[in-house]
Amino acid sequence: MISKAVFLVFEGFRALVRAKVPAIISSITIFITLMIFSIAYFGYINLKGYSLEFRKQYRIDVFFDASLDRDKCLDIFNSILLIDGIEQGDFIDRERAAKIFERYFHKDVKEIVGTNPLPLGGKFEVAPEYRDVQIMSAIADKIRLINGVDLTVFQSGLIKKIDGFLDNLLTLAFIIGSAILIVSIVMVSNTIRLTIHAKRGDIGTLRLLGATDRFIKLPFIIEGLLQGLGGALLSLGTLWVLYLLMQYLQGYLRTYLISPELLIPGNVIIGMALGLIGSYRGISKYLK
Amino acid sequence: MIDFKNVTATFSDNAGIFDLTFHIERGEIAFLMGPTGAGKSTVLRAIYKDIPVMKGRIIIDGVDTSKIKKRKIPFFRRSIGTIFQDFKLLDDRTVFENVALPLHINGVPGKVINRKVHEVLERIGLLDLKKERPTSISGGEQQRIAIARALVKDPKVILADEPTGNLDLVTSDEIVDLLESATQGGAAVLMATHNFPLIRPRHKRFIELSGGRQLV
Ligand SMILES: Nc1ncnc2c1ncn2[C@@H]1O[C@H](COP(=O)(O)OP(=O)(O)OP(=O)(O)O)[C@@H](O)[C@H]1O
Ligand SMILES: [Mg+2]
Repeated sequence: MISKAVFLVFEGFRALVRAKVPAIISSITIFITLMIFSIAYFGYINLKGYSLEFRKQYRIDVFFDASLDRDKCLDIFNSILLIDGIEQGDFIDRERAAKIFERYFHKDVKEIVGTNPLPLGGKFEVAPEYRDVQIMSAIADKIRLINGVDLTVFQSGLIKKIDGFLDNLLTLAFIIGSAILIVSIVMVSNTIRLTIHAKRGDIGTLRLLGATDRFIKLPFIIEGLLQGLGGALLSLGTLWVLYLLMQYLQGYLRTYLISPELLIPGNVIIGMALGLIGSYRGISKYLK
Repeated sequence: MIDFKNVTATFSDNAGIFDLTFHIERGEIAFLMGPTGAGKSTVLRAIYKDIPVMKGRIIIDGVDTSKIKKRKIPFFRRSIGTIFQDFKLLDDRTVFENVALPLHINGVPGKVINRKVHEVLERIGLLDLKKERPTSISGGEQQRIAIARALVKDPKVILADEPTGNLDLVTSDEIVDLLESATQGGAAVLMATHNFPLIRPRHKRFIELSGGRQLV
């Protein structure tokens, strides 16, 4: 039993070495697939990283009634801090409001108006898991109902756009990714079928000598697995070169890199799975 | 061991074998005689279930071959040593690997395979060629390798389709001797040939075919 298994594994290696051109075609197909996936995943984690950073600016600005005094405003400020989803707040009194005004308009508001007419207010940061348009709208509505609150503002339009963009991108990536996977599997199984076709005489002989389908299949499947591994190694090698390049550029570009703990097993597993499924499909169709 | 009962296996209305009945004992060698197209190969192919039998029954070692399920055919074939008319050697492996192949299929341990292959190559006088490819040896040598591949697994039934076709008379005689010696281990041997002068002096039973029918 064991010597038979050893023999069949050896047969798989032999088949790979014998049929070099199909092996190279399959490996390159798998390599290209893995490269596209790796780069797409790299793009995805960067987009996600940037969007999370961007979401740090997801905040609700609140303005209090101009008629209220500072203590009353502080009371309201503190009650808003107690609302679910509000992580922290920044109280803006007249002086700070004036400073902000000056930063934006390069003019002293007192010079223009004579007195400081700016209302007191607060900037509230929303906890990460609440950074969503609908949830933030609900929080803003809640704040608006509090007595003494004049106005709540947050960038719902922009947030909606970004969320929608990310959603669309993910859907698109999923569709394209599935299509690439299918194309790759079909290509690998067709290439394997080519090698099987070239060996159909030998397969007939093996059958007459009493070989089972499993005995005939196994070397082809091992061949497919090895082609997958070959594709994965090619892809990891190329990604390594890209990684060195990125490191060099890291001073200019700021990017999130995929961790090797994910990249290496990911490439190897997906590559070998592609080789396995492709060769299994190829040989099974043929033996039917 | 090999038992034909009114066996008919046809490719068309007038090609194939018709209503054959014969019996070959354990330890017996018999010859299938007849001109080209007589149906000799068809008889052998019917035995190892390469073509379907339409009528009658073939019983091998007590097993009715029509009862063997498709899934079990490989296991049935493992007990038969077949020498094909066209050899069917695998060109992408050495002589040694070709002869070892049936043992790998039968799941024989590696060490035993090594010993058995050497033994049979020695017996057949071609040990020197063990590293050669079938494409780089002569037709007669290929034929003897095909015989070695059939004998290596000590089968109970040996089917030889024209195993002396490419050989001179002396070598042919040696081959038939070899097959005959296999019967001493209890194997039943059925050899197809149209070389009557080769088998006449042996005084063994022969089954004569013409147009797929048995001559008596
Ligand atoms: N696959 C096939 N399809 C159709 N007819 C076939 C097929 N194989 C053989 N035949 C026919 O069956 C008949 C018997 O053929 P078979 O090969 O058994 O002859 P044979 O006695 O072995 O001849 P030879 O001495 O040339 O090997 C012949 O008429 C042949 O044409
Ligand atoms: Mg024939």
